[in-house]
Amino acid sequence: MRDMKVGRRDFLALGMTGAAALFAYGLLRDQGSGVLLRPPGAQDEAAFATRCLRCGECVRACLTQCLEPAGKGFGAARLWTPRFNPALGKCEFELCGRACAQACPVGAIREPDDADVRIGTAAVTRSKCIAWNEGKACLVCYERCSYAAIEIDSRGRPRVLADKCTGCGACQNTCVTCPDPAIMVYSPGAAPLEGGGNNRRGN
Amino acid sequence: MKKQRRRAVHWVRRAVQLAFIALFVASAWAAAWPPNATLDENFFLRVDPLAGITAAWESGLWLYLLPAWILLGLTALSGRFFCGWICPLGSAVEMLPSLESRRARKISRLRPRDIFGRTIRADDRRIRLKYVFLGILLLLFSLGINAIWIFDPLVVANRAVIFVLLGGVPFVFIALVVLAVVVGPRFWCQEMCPLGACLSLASMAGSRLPAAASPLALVKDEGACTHCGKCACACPFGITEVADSRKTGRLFMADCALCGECVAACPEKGALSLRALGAPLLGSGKAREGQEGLEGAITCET
Repeated sequence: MRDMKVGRRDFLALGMTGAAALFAYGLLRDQGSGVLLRPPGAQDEAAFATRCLRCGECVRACLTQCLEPAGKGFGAARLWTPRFNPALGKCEFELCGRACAQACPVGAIREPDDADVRIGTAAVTRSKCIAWNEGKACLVCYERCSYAAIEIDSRGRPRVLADKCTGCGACQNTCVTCPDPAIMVYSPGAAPLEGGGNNRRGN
Repeated sequence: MKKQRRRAVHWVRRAVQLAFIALFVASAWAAAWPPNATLDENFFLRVDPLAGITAAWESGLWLYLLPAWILLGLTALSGRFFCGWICPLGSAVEMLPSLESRRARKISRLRPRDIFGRTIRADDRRIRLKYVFLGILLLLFSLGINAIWIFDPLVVANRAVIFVLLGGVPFVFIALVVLAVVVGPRFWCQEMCPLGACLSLASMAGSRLPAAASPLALVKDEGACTHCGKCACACPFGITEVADSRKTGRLFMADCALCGECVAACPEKGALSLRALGAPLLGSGKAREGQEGLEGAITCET
């Protein structure tokens, strides 16, 4: 009788430990597939996923509230890590004093110089852009960009200069085709090519 | 079970726990705007030794979490006072109504019991599982897999507040609450919590220090003890050593949270006391036997 009782209680505790280990192993396997924008200073994705405690301090600290905890779509290994979502706000990394990095209790978010910040790169999806697609006059992204990273050609169509773009998200945040913005920020090195030249094909 | 008389230390501790919960929620909730009017970060996360280990190991930021190392040092001197008095998650689960006592009462007649009504050996072995659990987490972390974020109580509590703020659902927090209600209020703290394991290890490291060197210590006078076992019954952490030990002076208990419930429960004058740097804060045994009907009615239920 005694052995049975003890065995069952041990079994419960061991089972829970085992389940935790299996859960952790599952985290290793599930890296997800979505592309996740990070706050400035957290672009080293592998190191960041290890360091981040998912405490949510950066999400709370962000002055423009442009961060949110990453949901299930980004893989269990990155669950609840901070996701920079330009739809929520622009990243004001030059003005906010790097509130997210200051708030991070484990130093997972570093503080690169302003000139070195590359959250990602914006790119125009021409099929959605009203300047490209419908020939309308729209200079919103061009006017909102603080880094002169968008040039307008002779027909008023925007093009991103990737070497100047910091990925701050101002253009995506204000694009008039929201909620399906024609100009979006992509992870560093993951931006689709916009296509060359000024020759508009089709319409 | 008849009503136990709750002594002053119980309510003082509840007040301290509620104050720290309020402070925690306030510092986690503090709106980020305007920036100059708020706390910069939740200080509780800076005293978290698990976060300290994470930062030091992976990022090489040894001094970044100085408060965490200070907490470890204080724990080496005083034991797991953080768990008993400060930890917001531990306080929250402790104040929940638990199904355990009622259920345990039902089956306690079936379970082989020692004189304190406890299956001591099983408890002792289960208590050690948290070290295994901490080891697994640190091993995974050394392999580049961070699973600490799931189980660190301060991180869980912080995330719970922020998720509520954002309109989300704090699943891990709810899971721990359910665990506390179903299995027992301090089951998590004593048998799973990786932060508790860290603090227990620190507490062990300083266990040879005399009571006079400790800001908060539990001292036993073996001469006054009658081994009635009420201390062990009252312990929310299920520690029986306080009753078993034949030692005089500071008790060596890595898992003791210095909550003082045993001192409040002890009927013998001077048998148990909580001391700060050698000076008595709280002594046992104010009630006389026979005078208080309620005192005599305390029975061990779990």
